[in-house]
This record gives sequence, structure tokens and C-alpha cells, in this order.
Amino acid sequence: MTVMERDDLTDTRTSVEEQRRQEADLRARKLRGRNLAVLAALLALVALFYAITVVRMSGAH
Amino acid sequence: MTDVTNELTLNHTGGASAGDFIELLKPRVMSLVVFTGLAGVVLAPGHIHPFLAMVAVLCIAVGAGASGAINMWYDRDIDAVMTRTVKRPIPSGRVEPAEALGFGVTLSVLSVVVMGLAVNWTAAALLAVTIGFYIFVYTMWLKRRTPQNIVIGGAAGAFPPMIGWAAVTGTVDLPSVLLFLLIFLWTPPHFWALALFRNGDYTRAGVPMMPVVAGEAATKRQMLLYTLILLPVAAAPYFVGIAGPVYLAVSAILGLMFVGCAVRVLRASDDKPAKKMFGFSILYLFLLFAVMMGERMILGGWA
Repeated sequence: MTVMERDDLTDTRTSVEEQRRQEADLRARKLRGRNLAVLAALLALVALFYAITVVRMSGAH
Repeated sequence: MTDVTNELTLNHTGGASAGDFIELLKPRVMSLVVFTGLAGVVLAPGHIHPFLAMVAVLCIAVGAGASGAINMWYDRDIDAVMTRTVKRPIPSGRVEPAEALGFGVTLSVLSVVVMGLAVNWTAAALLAVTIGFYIFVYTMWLKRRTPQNIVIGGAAGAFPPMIGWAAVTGTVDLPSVLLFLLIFLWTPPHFWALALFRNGDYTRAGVPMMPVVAGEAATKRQMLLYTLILLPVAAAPYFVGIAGPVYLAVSAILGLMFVGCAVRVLRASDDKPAKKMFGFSILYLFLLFAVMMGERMILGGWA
């Protein structure tokens, strides 16, 4: 194996690692977004049930 | 079915984003459902607390979206071969089929329970029937078996104004049945117009839409027939007292325009009139309900 071929191999390995890192970043970003969406949905549900209870208990329906 | 989706999933990394789950709810279909559901609430006699009216419309929207997600789970094999649906979250591998099913079932149950607890159990029962009808009767039973799939299955999309009405009154009355009939009879010409210019898609997927099974000429004749039946049905809300004279005039004009669209489609040999009719059909339904609600809100009262 020549020096040039070894350099090519190293370049390929680096670019594969770089691609994996980018994919991991993307996955982490999406997961964080999903977790925040679930948190928002749960908080909205709590607020919704609270408001429904208040309205129904006030007898205004 | 599974092979196609698994292969696609393996080629796609990154997992699903929150937006992909929103897409599972078919937001565009949901908007029309929300609008007609709201119409039911506005047109019904009696009083409902504005917040509870909002909750009722929210439940209708979430229930419709949830059944859309379950529909995408069940139809993932045919969605993967149709141009119109290939980019949906499941066939494109962004959402796992099981995730979509879990998401849809959870939201279905939640929407019915919240409707029952916050509004009333008649509206909740109607919402449950709508979701069940769309999933079991339309998606699982009729869609792949008969060209009458969207005729009978169209009932699922026609329920929202009836649910909205029941949210206020707690009952099912003649005017709400008429609103149901209006959407029920509008569905075949609306969907068949789409099927005419997406014929290749449905043929490839093996879905027996009317143009695929009975041919284009027979479909076009039936579309014209439905638009003619719609003329008196669309006028009926005036005669039962939930719409005024402006609505009667608008429904007659729009109805004749809809018939005109169907005649142009019948005479045409290309897709253009069908595409125009599909677009007009959405506008037609939107305007009918908008005028009905507008007249009610401006003039008030209930006959």
C-alpha cells in the first residue's frame, strides 16, 4: 500500500465518522424537539382539564 | 406491506420529528372537519359556554386527526406506491408504523373521553362512531373492496356538524341530519373528481375507485347525478329554519355552478375540468357553511 492510498483511506474514515456525527446530532435534535412537544402537550392537557373543571363547576355551561 | 416500509425505514435515519406526528393528523383534511364541526355548534339552537364550544371543536379536530393517523398506519402499503401519498411520514420512513398506531389510538380515546366529560356523552358517542366508522368501515372494510368505498365511507366525514350540533343540544335533530346529508352527498363528486386525474395512482395501488372499476364515463355520469341531488338537499337548511334567504340564493347559485362543473367534466376528454371541479367542490362546501354561519351570526335567532 502506497502512502497516497493510506491517505485516501484515512480521508474516507474521517468523512464516514463526520457523517455519523452529523446523523447523531440530527437524531439528538429531533429527539429534543419531540420531548419538548410532549412536555407542551402534557402541560396543555393539564391546563385544559383545569379550565374544564372551573367552567363546569361554575355552572355556566 | 411490511417489507416495503421496513426497507424504507432502514434507508432513513434521524427518527421522527414533532412535525411528522402533526402530519399524521392530516391537517388539511382536519381544517374542513373543524370548519363543519364549528358550523354545527353555531347553527344549533340553545346555548353552550364558549370555552366548552371550543373544547367540542378541539375534540372533533383531534378525533378526526387521530383516525387519519390510524388510516395512515393501515394504508402504509398503498401509500408507498401512490405519488400523492409516498411522502407521508410512514412510507417515507420518518415514523414507525407502530408509533403511528399508538399515537392514533391514544388521541382517539382521549378526544372521546374529553368530549364526554367536558361537553356531553351524545356528542362523545357520535365522535366515537365517526372514528370507528372511518377506521373499521371505510379504511379496513370498504376502501379496498368496492368502488362504493367513498360513497358509504363518506359518512365519516359528514358527521362533524352533527357532533357540533349534539354538543350544544345533546340530541340528534332533523336539521343536523340535513347538514350530514349535505356533506354525505357532496363527497362522491368531490372524491371522484380527484380520482379522475389520479386514476393511475389508484390503479397502481389496486384501490377500486369508481373510475378504475366502472370507467371514466360511468363515473362522470354519477358525479353529475350527485350534483343534481345536491341542489335540493343544499337548499333544505333554509326550509328547516337554520339558514336564511341569502343562504338559499347562494346555495342555488353554487349548486348550479357545481352542476356546470360536472357537465364540463362529462364532456371533457382531458383532466383539466376534473381538476377544476375538485378545487371548486372544496370552495362550494366552504362557502355554503360560511354563509350559513355568517347569516346566523349576523341575523341571530333560530326559527
